[in-house]
Amino acid sequence: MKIRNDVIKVYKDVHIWVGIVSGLMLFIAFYAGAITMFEKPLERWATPPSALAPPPPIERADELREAVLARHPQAAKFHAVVVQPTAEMPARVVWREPGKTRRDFTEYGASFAADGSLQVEKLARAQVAQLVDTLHQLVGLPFADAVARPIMGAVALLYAVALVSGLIIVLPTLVKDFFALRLGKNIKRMWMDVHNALGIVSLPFHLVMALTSVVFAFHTPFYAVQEKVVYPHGLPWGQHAPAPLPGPHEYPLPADELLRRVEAQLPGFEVYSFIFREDHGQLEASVTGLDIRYGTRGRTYASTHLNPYTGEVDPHDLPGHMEPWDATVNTFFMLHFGSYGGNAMRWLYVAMGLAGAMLFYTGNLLWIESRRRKQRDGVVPGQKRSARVLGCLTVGVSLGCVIGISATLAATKWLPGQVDDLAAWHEGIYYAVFLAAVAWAFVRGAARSADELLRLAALATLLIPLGSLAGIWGVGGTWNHPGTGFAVDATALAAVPVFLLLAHHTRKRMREGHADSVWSAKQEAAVEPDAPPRGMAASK
Amino acid sequence: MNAWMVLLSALSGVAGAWLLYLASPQQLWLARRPSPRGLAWLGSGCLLLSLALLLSMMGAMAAVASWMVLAMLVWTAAPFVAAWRARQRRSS
Amino acid sequence: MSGKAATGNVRRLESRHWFGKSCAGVLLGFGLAVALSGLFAWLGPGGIEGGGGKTQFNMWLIAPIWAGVLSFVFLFRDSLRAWLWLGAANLAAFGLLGALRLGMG
Repeated sequence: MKIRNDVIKVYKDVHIWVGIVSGLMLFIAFYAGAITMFEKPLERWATPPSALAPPPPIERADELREAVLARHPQAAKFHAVVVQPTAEMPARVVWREPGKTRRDFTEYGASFAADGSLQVEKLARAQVAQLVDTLHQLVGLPFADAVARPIMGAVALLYAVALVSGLIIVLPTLVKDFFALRLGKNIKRMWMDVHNALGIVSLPFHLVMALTSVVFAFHTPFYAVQEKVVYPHGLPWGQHAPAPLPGPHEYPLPADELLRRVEAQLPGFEVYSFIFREDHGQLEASVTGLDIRYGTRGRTYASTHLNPYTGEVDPHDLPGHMEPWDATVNTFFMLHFGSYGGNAMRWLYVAMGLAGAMLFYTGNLLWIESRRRKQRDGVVPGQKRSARVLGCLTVGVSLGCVIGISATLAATKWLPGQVDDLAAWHEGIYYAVFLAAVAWAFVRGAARSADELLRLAALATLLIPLGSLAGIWGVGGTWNHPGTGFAVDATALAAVPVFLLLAHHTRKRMREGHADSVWSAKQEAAVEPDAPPRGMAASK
Repeated sequence: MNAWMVLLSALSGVAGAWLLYLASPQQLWLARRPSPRGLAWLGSGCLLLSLALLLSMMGAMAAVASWMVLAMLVWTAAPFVAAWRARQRRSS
Repeated sequence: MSGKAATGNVRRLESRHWFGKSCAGVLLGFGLAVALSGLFAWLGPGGIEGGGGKTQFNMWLIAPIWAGVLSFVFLFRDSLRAWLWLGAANLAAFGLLGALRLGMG
């Protein structure tokens, strides 16, 4: 396809600048996003063992519910019967006590002790999986949600602009260079091909991520503006059927019977839990679970109303049974969250996420590489510094995020035995390591720090399974959930040689690559005479 | 969802995407490319089979999305794997 | 656009107007996205009382339109043209939306 040269030139500038502004935040969003695809297994792995007695069978769930409600009547407002209790949800019956805000609540779980008495425990669901997810949602920014979310939305808009401008730039050579990967003497050509290989075929994925993220950031103001400008009588949400009233001789069905009836109505739907809400004596129930043939608008589960007296499911909120508009909107969420196709799909999303992170990383490499070439004919010291600064930032921020996440995950098994405020500690560890890595990159320069930080990443990641290993022997309050946590440890272990291999290649490039590059050890020694010493120049 | 059917749809999807990569003029996996037209037909056939299998098992949007993500991943990885092999071939 | 380039009588597009164009893209692009999503809400299948699913869909529409305008705003020759054309598009779209609200609401 032919496009005017001046148009290409303008869109190159657009692409370069939106890329520089948003690239590193997008790296964090994608790396953390890849990890958060396995939010639930991570949470399971990271939650300390419960002191509750093993959950009673689901046939006794109602006995337990009644015992809980007799002792803790406030639980009636929101309690759940868990179908498959797991490490992070270790009780058959759990309930929520509200906190200051709607999202702030405390979870309790109950079981029967060996002597048949009621046992209650405040659930200690791990915080670290939430931290990774928050990093993903807020592109790694350490600000309050109200500040970071609009910034994330702006980054998502820039990301969309970067995708369109990138596409415009490659359109003239799209067909000719499709799948081209020319590894050779021309480093810029090589990074260009790598960047295109990562970006072009996955464009649909990236467009979905960019546009859904704009909505995730701005849906509240979007609705508010539309309510004022578009709709005559407020936002039309449609009618919700009121909760069913029990007939004269109807009583809520026991959980095992509800399970049987739901499974009969919804083949392919795996039931996770039944939620009960009692308000002014009226009982409402819903069922949560997932049908991986359809995905869901939630990150990990779907939920729909259920008549607790008959077990009849109201399927209109359920993927696969929705009206066309709802199904379409459900698709948007599903495509972002990868909540369809089960674990196989989640692994593919991990790979797509990591490839996306590399897309942004190589974008910055390209910028540095093209600056390097321009400097040959006329030396402009400012440019040189900018390339060096961006090199340090790229290495420090990306690897800082990688090491920070590994470090805070590695601390997971040790913290509960030592400290109280786990969320604050996990966040503190992440940001301390992250900032230290960025500072280190500026002190040591891009090339050296890339090698050192990659080796540190390998070490920090190796520490993750070591915490579980310590747990097998019960050292220092650590734990290991047999079976379920193994995948987390194995994944971390598999990442260690990858980081070491990357470090090896970085060292090789530092020794054998072009000398006139921020990635060369020789270059770092050779500072131009009129520039201030390297460390100082970079740290400004 | 039958695990064997899932496996079959995944394998035919990977094979189809891979064959289409081999059919492209820029492919580096094979030293000499056999008839690109044959590869393209065979690849498209495999991809369509994969889509048909997925559509028979999942909701339409989930099936198409799974299919596309798989193809995107294969096409993202293929140039790298092939370039690596081309380099091995050159050095030997 | 390639046809015009061949004749060579078109002023070349330049990057230096980026700030004015970006502002037009952000502000007027958002306005246009809201107005067009509103037109879809009224005229699209199901009409203005299309139920909760459609209400959500209408909101989702803002993102692609806004991002699209912001992406293509750099094709305007200069900032003034971007503001004028997008301003006119906003006026037209909001005018039509107002008329619909008066006529159908």
